[in-house]
Amino acid sequence: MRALLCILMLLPTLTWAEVQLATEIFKVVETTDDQGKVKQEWKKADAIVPGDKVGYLIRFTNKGEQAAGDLVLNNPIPDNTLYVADSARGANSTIEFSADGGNAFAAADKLFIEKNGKKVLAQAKDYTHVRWIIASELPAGESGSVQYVVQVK
Amino acid sequence: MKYSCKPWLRTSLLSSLAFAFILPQTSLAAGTAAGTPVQNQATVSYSTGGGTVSDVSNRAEFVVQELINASLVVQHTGDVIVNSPDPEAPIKLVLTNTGNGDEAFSLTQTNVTGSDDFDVTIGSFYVDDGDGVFEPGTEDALYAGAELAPDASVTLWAVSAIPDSLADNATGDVVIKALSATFQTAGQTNPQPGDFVAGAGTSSTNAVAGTTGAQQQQTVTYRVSAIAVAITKAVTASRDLLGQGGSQYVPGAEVDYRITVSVTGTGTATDVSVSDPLPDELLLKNTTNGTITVGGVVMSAKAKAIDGDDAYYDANTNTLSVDLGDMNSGDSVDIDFTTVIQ
Repeated sequence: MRALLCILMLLPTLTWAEVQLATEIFKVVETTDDQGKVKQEWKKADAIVPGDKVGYLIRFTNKGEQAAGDLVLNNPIPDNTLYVADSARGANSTIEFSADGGNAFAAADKLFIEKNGKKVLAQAKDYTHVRWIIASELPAGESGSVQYVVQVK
Repeated sequence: MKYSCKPWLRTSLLSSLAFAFILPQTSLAAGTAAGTPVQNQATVSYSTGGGTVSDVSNRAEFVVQELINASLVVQHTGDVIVNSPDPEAPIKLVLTNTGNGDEAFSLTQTNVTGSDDFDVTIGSFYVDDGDGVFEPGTEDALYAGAELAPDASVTLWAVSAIPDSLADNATGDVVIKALSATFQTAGQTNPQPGDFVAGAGTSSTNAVAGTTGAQQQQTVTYRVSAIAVAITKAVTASRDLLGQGGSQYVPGAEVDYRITVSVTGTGTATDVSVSDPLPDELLLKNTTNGTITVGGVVMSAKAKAIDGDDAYYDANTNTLSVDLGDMNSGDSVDIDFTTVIQ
């Protein structure tokens, strides 16, 4: 039994694909330029206070020797924060949200919740999870990233 | 067997865990409490030759820093009406910690020079004991700059002395300022939004000046009001009821009186009340069943507790009373009633 467990644990490192994740935190600062255009900058995350916007960048890298398929990244919206509408990005991916703790996922325009007995479209503040379904295989040695922004309550 | 939980213990552990998840999070107007760690961990699943695999990212964490904000609201609409002189003219204020950590605030008052008519002698700040009545030194203690929890408020009295011999309507402006004690201690007496004091916040977070710049100030105007309430009383008619339309003051004769109350000066005289103890030789006609006319409105002389109106007569003390409420400068009210000579 113990031997089998050890083999299972070793399997991903030995062959095939091995996708590693790294999450980075940024402070999202909005600046207005001379033309009155609002620009977003992702800066070092220091001195984050309520009301600030925080950007998460999740890098994924295939450190294995074969391609990884059916790649799905799932990230709960952290406690004490709210998802910022339309902030999730991810190349070559379908972005879906959950408003029930990660059980059901749907695109933003198809995610409904019950409110006072009525079915209503979930708002950004209702989201509990965001996930990215990557459309293509991730070849060995390749990497990519997805991102989203929350606001600290 | 040694490590397995007893079934009842397992159940109680599970239920307490479930409870922890449904507990409502502390929600403050001021936002997430300073020192709260916010953690984020992504998961990935993918298919590979060996099947479906999942893995997690590092646990990315930041700690919410202390945001220092305050609100200072003057509890007066318009100017604060004072007398000249007035040794203790109070301004009522509410100071609220709108930040997300415990914070003390230091308060100051300064005279505004140039734009007004007089300077006050700056006094102290007192903390209201909860009744909203200014009672310096007795009920209301001197403000000592106690820490306020996030969202907590304190009602304060800023006190100054108004000089003597000022003209009616003269104004004196003072600026009342609340400054974060953290910034003051750090020598930053004029912090701007985004300025911070490293490590000086709750749970050793940075203390960051919020949108109010960790300070708040209000300018309040004192206005001298030489408000005066004048009262006059006169006989307007008498009837001896002896059949010839005479007006002799004889026992049984009716005497009509008019009391006129008028307000001059500036501002409002609050809770004006008139009391007229009649001499033993006179009684109100029909006593408590009689009437008192206030500003042309006929009111029953019954006790206030009985009829609720503002005019009443006490047969025991033979006193007639009228509550006129607040009267503005320029207001004048006539009170008419009829007495009978005993």
